[in-house]
Order: sequence, then C-alpha cells, then structure tokens
Amino acid sequence: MMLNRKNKVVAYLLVLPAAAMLAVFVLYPMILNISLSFKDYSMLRTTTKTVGLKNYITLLTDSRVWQAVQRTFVWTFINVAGALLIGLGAALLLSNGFKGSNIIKSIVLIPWVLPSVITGYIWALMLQEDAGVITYILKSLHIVASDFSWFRTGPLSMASAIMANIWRAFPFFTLMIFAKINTIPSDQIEAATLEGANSWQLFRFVTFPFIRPTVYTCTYLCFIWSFNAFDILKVMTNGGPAEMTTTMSIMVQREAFQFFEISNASTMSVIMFVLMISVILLFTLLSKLVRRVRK
Amino acid sequence: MKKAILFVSVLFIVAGLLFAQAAGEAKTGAKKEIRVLLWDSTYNSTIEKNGIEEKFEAAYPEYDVVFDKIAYDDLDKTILFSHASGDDYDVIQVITTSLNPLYAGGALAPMDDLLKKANLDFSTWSPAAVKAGVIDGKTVGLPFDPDCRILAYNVKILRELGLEPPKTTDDMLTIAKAAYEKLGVYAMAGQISKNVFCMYDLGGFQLCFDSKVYDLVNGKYTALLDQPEALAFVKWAVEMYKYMPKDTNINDTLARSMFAQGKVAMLWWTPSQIKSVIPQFENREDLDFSVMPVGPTGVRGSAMGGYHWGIGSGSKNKEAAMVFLNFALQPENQALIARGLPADTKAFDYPPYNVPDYDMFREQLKSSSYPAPLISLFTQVAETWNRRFQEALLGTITPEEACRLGQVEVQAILDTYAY
Repeated sequence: MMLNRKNKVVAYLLVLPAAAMLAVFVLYPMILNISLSFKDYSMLRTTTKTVGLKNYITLLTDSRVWQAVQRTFVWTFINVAGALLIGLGAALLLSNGFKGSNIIKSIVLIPWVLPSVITGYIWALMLQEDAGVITYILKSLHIVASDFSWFRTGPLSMASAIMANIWRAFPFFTLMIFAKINTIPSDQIEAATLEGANSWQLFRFVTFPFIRPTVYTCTYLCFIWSFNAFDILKVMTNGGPAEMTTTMSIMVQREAFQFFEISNASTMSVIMFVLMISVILLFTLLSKLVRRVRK
Repeated sequence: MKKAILFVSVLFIVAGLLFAQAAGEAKTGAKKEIRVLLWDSTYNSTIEKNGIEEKFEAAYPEYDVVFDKIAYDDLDKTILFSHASGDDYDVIQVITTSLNPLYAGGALAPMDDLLKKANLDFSTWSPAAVKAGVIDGKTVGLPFDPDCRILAYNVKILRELGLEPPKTTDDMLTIAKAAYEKLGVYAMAGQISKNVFCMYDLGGFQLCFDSKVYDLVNGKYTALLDQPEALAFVKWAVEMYKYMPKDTNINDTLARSMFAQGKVAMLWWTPSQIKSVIPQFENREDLDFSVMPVGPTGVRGSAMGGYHWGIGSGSKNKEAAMVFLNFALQPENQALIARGLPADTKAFDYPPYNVPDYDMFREQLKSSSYPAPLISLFTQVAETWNRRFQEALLGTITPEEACRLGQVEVQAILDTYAY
C-alpha cells in the first residue's frame, strides 16, 4: 500500500520522538565514546589532546587486557551454556504439568525478578567462609576441608559468581521456552506419538525444531547480558583475588570510576563492543551455514 | 459542572501564581546557601546526630547550610562529575588519598587567601594531616577527620595461649601461629579484595618494616619494592596470611564482627571502630589495645588515612564556604564532626574524645604517616601492587617475584606522573 504525502509526514512525525530519544541517548553517547577513545581524556588532568590510535595500541599490547578478554569469554560461555541447559530442562519439566507445577512456575521467576546486586550479596553471604550456610553445610558433612573457602582462588571465585549468575539467568530461558512449548500444535505431538516416537525423538524432531528460534533469541540476549555483566562480579569478587575474576566490564568500570581515565575506559568499551558483535556475527553465519548444509 | 471545573481551575492558577510570587520574594530575601557534599556515614553518625546544621545556623543566621549525602564509593565520582558539569559544591568532604587526584582534575580550589580571614591555629594540629592538604605549596584541603592504626587484640585468647601482648612484628607471628594451630582462631581478618589492602590493612604493617611501596627519592617518585625491607615485609605478610581466613572477599564489617565474637586474635584498629565494634563485644574486658608493633629495624609505623574538607573550585560561595569550615574546624566542633580522630589535638579535650579509649590513638597519631606520598596515581599504584601482593599471599608467586614484578609495574605507573 502506497502512503500519500500527508500520511508519510504523519508517519515520520510519529517516529520522530523515538528517533530523537535514540539519537540523544544511544547514538550520541556511542559517537562520543568512540571519539574519546582517540583522545587522552582523564578527569584528573585539565588538558586533553588527540592521540590517534595510541590508546588502542597500548591496550591491545597489555597482557592484563588480554587476560581480561579471556576471562570474559570463559564467564560468558559458561553462563550462557549453564542458563540454557538448566532453563531448557526446567521448561520441559514444567510443560509436563505435574502436580504443583503452577506454584513452581511462580517460584522459578524469583531469581529473575531480583536485582542482580541483591543476588550477588545473597550468594556471597551463602558462600562466605565463616558464616555462609552453603559452606557450613559442606563443612559439616565433611565434603570440603575445614579451611575451605569459595573465594580462595581465582577459578573457585569465578565458579561461585557463575553459579550465582546462572541461578539468576535460567528463569528467563525457562519462561520463554515454556511459553513457546505451550504453543506447539497438539496434532504434531499426537502424530509423532502415533508413529511410535519415544520421548527423546519427540523432543529431537518435534519440540526442539519448534522452540529453536526462541532458544536462539534467548541465547543471543543472554550472551549480550553476560558479556556485559558487571554487578554480580563486582559484589561477589570485586575482580579478585589477584584480578583472577576481572572481566572487561570490571576493567572498564575501574578505569573510568576509580582511575578516572575516561579515554582508556572508552577504548576498552569499543574493543568490548567489537568483540561482542564479532561473536554474534560469527554465530549467525555459522547457524546459517549449518541450516544450508542440512537443506 | 463545567462552571465548577472552570472555577477550580482558576482557583488553582491564582493560588499557583500567588505561591510563585511568595517563593520569589522569599528567595530575594533568602539566606545565603552553602552546599556541602559529604559521605553519608559522616552525616548520619556525626553531623545529623550532633545537630551541626542547627548549631551553625544558630551561630550564623544569614546562612543556610544544605548537606548532600553520598555513598563512600561515589564520593570522588560525584565531586568530579559535579565539577565537570559546572555544578561545583561549596564545601566537599574529600578522602585524603583523593586530594591530589581531585586537585589535579581541577575540582578543588586553593584556600590560602580565604584562610587569612579564618580563625584557625594549626600549631596544635597533626602536622602530617595538615601537610597532606598542601599541594604545590597551596592549601587545598583542611584535615578534620584523620585516622591512624593501632593494634587491637583479644585478651582472653592471649591468656589462653599464655602469651604477652605483641610488641614486635615477630611477636605477632608467634601469636598468629599459636592461635590458629592451638585454638583454631584466625590471626587477623580483613578484606583482601579492596585495593587499599596492600597500603592500609595488612599492607599498613609495611611501615613497621621501614618500607613504603614508593616514595619521593631525589625529587622523583620511585618504586621501592626492590628494597630488602619490602621483601622482608612481604615474607612476613605471606606467613601471617597462612593464619588468616582464606575468603578473599570477606568484608571489613564481617571481619570486625568476627573479631568481636572471639574468632580472630588481633586486628588493625581504626578509631571509627570504637563506636561500631566495641558494643559487639560480649565482654569489654576481652578487648585491649597497643600501639603498633615495631618491625625488625625497630621502626613503629602506623598508616594514616582519613578526610579533609575542600572547597569546590567552581563554588560561587567560597567565602561562605570558609565561614562554615571555620565553624566546623573549631576544636569543640571538630570533636563532634570527626568519625575517626580530630586533626586538632585540642579537640581531644572535648566529648566524645575525652575518654581513655582514644588515649592510644592520641599517642599513635603523633608518629603516624601516610603509607606513600598521596599523589594522583596513588589508587592506580595501590590497585596494581595489590594484585602482586595478593598473588604472593595466595602462593601463586613467591615474595621475590611479587616484589620484582611489583617494582617494574609500579615504576611504570609512576613514570607517567606529570611533575
């Protein structure tokens, strides 16, 4: 349908507020951030000059940055995989409609609605060496040594934060996948059952193809959220011990709000953005390729 | 109905106009406003509790002092952002270690000219605290809440171990080992993950080894981690950490609570803990203090910290700001406002500091010093060294490696300092 001139004007006018908001609150900060990455702006100096690619060269040759990149990917992939598997499992379980599933459906949402900072504090308290309930139980049952601490080493600290983040993130997958499962046409399931499909085959050939787009969308979103996650790590480990849980987000925050080196922080966030987009593009290309090969 | 709506609308418009006019008139004859930015804990624990606002406004009726409270972690950020947006505060509570960075960022105003009109005698003040507020020969901060560390210990634990209170850093290790191995009690506890841990908490004992992370040497800021004293300290800290909780993210509140519960034998003790931790002790007699122990070379060091008042460089009310500071820094008011210790020794004659709990601090404050020169790179150096310090404590690198790597990394940061 062709829009006449008057309708076009109205359409543009209707889009204008949203476009203006996006320009002011998304586009302008992005452009400013990129431009700052080519300067040496620090809030602790009164002068600023353009330094070209110096910030990028300095940061990309800094082993601490690469270690943070590595940790960011470890953190992100384990979180996404964990949340996806548990979320999918929980959704399938709930879709069976067992007794009490309605109550569980409501309860399962609690971690998702809690602010991530609160989640961080709760888990840090539960895992705390001296008074944490989880550590206490593990010590009482002699599963761990009496001087065991979740925050003693880098890998254990990272595992603790990942546990907390998965606990917070999986209900999102559960909710979305459960909603999608509920819309599977019953005739498809009935037909598959009549053909003699077992539970696994039913999932593999009926349920999963139907929920795949939802799983992909949720995975993308979870990937972006986890990649940028800051609060849980900040609260639970503060990037420690010895920077062994310092991810890119923690580094950006530290450069910007502890050292007030705004240009360094901007450069890091541009690098983060590029890395994130690259992974998403790679994932999209791979999934297209897989689909093409299958066809 | 329409008439009623019209009548009510007209009534609201008229009332609004009258209110706006009255507000305008009130503003014309209004008092001069003094905007103060401070840490919420300072406001809640002393300023509000002791009625400082009312006292000041009663003494100076022409002024209206307004306090903006902010969380500790957001203090520097808020000062810099308010300055960057041209909305500077008149009076600012500045963390002493942030004085240099904030001055370098142009957020603090020199106040020497304003001080000439004030009635302040610095001869009885802590010289180190006063000196910390002077940058490039200009006074940019006035100390009002400095602190220093002394050593607190659990008398009951020491009695059970048959040991005397520690006098040296070696005594501390003896107590630490015995407490942990015989009673299952931790030697000390603290938040390793915070960046000042290597400067103030366990790191504060470095001063007892006559060592600093960096210092001004021949006019140049130089890393001193390659010195034998620094290595001796790191080795001591590694040994001490064996008997401390392994939870690297234990927070200070919890660590102090563990001390009060008798789960920790010794603790570096700051003045603010008198009000917050002593009440947690079931038996007050279990707690006693000593000045900091002496290290291998006979030096007794105690790390100073605390807060200064500053005036915002963009403040349009600098004279009024100084009027408030002059009031707040009088000994009797300093005693009411400080959370840690007052900077003026005369303030120790006023409540709440005129009790024996503070005697040890009064003594220790005289010989206390800042753990390293408070330059704008202090936080960055602390963060960088804390990584190597933690690695040594956790045993992932040796003390020698920690000092070697720390020396290179800290010096690289110091080399960027703009003299």
